[in-house]
Amino acid sequence: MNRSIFLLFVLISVFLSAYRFDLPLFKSEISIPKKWPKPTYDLSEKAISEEGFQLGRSLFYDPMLSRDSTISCATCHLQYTGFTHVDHNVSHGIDGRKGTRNAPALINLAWKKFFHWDGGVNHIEAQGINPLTHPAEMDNTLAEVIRRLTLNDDYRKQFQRVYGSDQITTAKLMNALSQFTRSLISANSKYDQVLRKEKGVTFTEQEQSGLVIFRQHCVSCHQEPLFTTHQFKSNGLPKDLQYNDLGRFAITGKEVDSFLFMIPTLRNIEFTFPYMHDGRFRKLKEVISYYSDKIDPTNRHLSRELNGPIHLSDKQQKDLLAFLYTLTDKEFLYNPRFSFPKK
Amino acid sequence: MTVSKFVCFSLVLICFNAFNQSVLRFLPCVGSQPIELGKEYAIREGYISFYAVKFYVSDFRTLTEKGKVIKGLPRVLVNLEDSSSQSIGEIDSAAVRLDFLLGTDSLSNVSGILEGALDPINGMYWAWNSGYINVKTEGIYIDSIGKEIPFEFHLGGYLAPNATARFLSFDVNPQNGIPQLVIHMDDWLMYAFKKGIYSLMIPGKISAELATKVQASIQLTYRHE
Repeated sequence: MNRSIFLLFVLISVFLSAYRFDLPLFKSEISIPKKWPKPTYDLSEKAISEEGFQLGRSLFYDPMLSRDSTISCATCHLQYTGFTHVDHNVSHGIDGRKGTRNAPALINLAWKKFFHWDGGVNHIEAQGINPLTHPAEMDNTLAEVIRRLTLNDDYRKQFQRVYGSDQITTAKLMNALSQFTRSLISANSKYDQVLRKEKGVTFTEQEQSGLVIFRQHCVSCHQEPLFTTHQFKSNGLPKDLQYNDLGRFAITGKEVDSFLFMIPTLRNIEFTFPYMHDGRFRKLKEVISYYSDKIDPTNRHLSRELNGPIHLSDKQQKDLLAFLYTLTDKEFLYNPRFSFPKK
Repeated sequence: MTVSKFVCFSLVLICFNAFNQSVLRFLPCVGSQPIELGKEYAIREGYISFYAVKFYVSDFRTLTEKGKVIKGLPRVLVNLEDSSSQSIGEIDSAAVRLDFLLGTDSLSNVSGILEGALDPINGMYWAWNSGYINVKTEGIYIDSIGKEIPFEFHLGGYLAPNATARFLSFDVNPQNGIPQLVIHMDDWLMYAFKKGIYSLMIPGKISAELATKVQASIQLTYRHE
C-alpha cells in the first residue's frame, strides 16, 4: 500500500515537472480549437513531429540561411508582435534593402490556402522559398542554403532524426520550416476565453459594445474565429505612389483583381502594427478612422462589403478598439515554445 | 549446364532487346542544327545563341497499335547543360505511338515542394507565383541590323485559361530509324521576336500563346546510326 502511494506520488511529480518545465510530455500534439473550421494543412502527429517542429524552429531563427548570415526569418517575423515586423511599414532585408510590402503576421497559417498579400503562393511549404531567395530579403540560393546545412553536423543529425536520412533537400527543408509555421496557433485571447465561457472572464461593457459594432460592420471580411475569410478584397485605399502595388492583379493578370489584397487576420492586431499591405497606418485607431469616415465610395475597385458608409462615433470607435484589444493572445506571443531555441 | 544455358539465353535476350529498342532523345534545334549552348547560329533574320534551354517532359508513354501502354517513363527535366538529360528512354519496336505532356501537370503545381526533377533547386520554379516554369530559354538575338537583344522566356502557369502545359502525340515507326523529337526553337522564338517580345517571365495569355507555338514547333524525325 505504501509502495503504491509512493509510486503514485512519483508519477504525479513527473507529470507536474513536465508540465511546469515544458518537457516533451504531450508536446507534439496540436489540438485544433473547438468550433474552428478544419485546417487546410494536416496538424496531426503524422504531419508534425516534435523533432520536425524543433528542426523548423531552429531553421526559422537561423541567420545562416541568408546570403551573408545576417538575416533570419525571425528578423521580419518577431514572435512578440505576432510574428510580424513591428514598427516597419515595409521590411528591410539583407544590406538594408527594402521590400515593398508590410511583413504579414504568421498566425494560424494552417488555415490558409494562399500566402502573401497577393496570394501568389499556393502552399505553405512553397512559401519559405520566397524570403530565402528574394534579393531584398535573404538573397540566397537554395543550392547554397542546402550546401551550408549539409556542412553542419547538427543540422544533418536533425534531418536524419526527422526524415530518416541526413540528405538535405529543398522539400525536406521547406517541410521542416512549415512544421514550425503550421504550429503557430493563436486561440487563447480574452475573446476566446469569453467565448469558451471560462470562469471569471467576461467582456467589459466597452468591449461588449465593440463586439456588437464589430459584428455589424467588420465581420463579413474578418470572420470569426480566424478573423479573416482569407479572401482578396479592396478596402479602397488610394494607390501607394511609392510602390505602385496592384495587389492580386500581379498574380492573375485580371483587371478585376486590381488593388485586391488578402484580408489579414485581426488576431493580435494590437501588436502587429503598422497596418495595411504597405504599412501606411501606424496606429489602430487610424485604421478604424479610415474605415469609419475616409473610404472613397467612388473608388471603382472598392469591394462591395464596404459600399455602405460606416460612420462610427468617437465612442463607437473607442469601443471597437477595446474589442480588438481582446484579440491579443499573450500566451501565443510569449510562448517559449515558439521563441528562439536556446541550446 | 543449366546455368550456362540460362546465361546464354539471357545474353540473347539482352541483345534482342538492345536491337529492338532505341533511345529517344529531344533535340532543340535552330533550323536543322542541334543547339549547343554558347554557339551562334545564323538564321534568316540575323543570328541567335543560347545560354539556357530547359523544359519538362511528363507522362511520357509509348503505345501499341491497340492503344496498350508499353511503357511509361518518369518525368524528366531536359536541360541542354546536361546532354544526357536529352535522352529520355527507350522506344520499343512494337510502339506505334508516343505521347507526353510538355511541361508539368496542374497537380504538381499545387502540391508544395517536390523532389527529383521537380526540386525548385533546378531553377524551374516560380516562388513569387507558385508553379513551375514549363519551358525556359535564354540567350542573345542579333537582329538583321546587328543589334544585340538579350532574350528570356520562362513559360509557365497552370491555371485555366492560360495553362501552358501542352499534350503532344506522334505516330512512330521504329523501323524508320531511331526516333527523335526535334524542337525548332527558332520557329517559335522568331514568332515572339516579330511581335517585339523578347522577355516573358509571368504566366498569362502570351505565355499560353507561346506554349502553343512551342508545341507546334516539335516534330518527330528519325536518325540512322
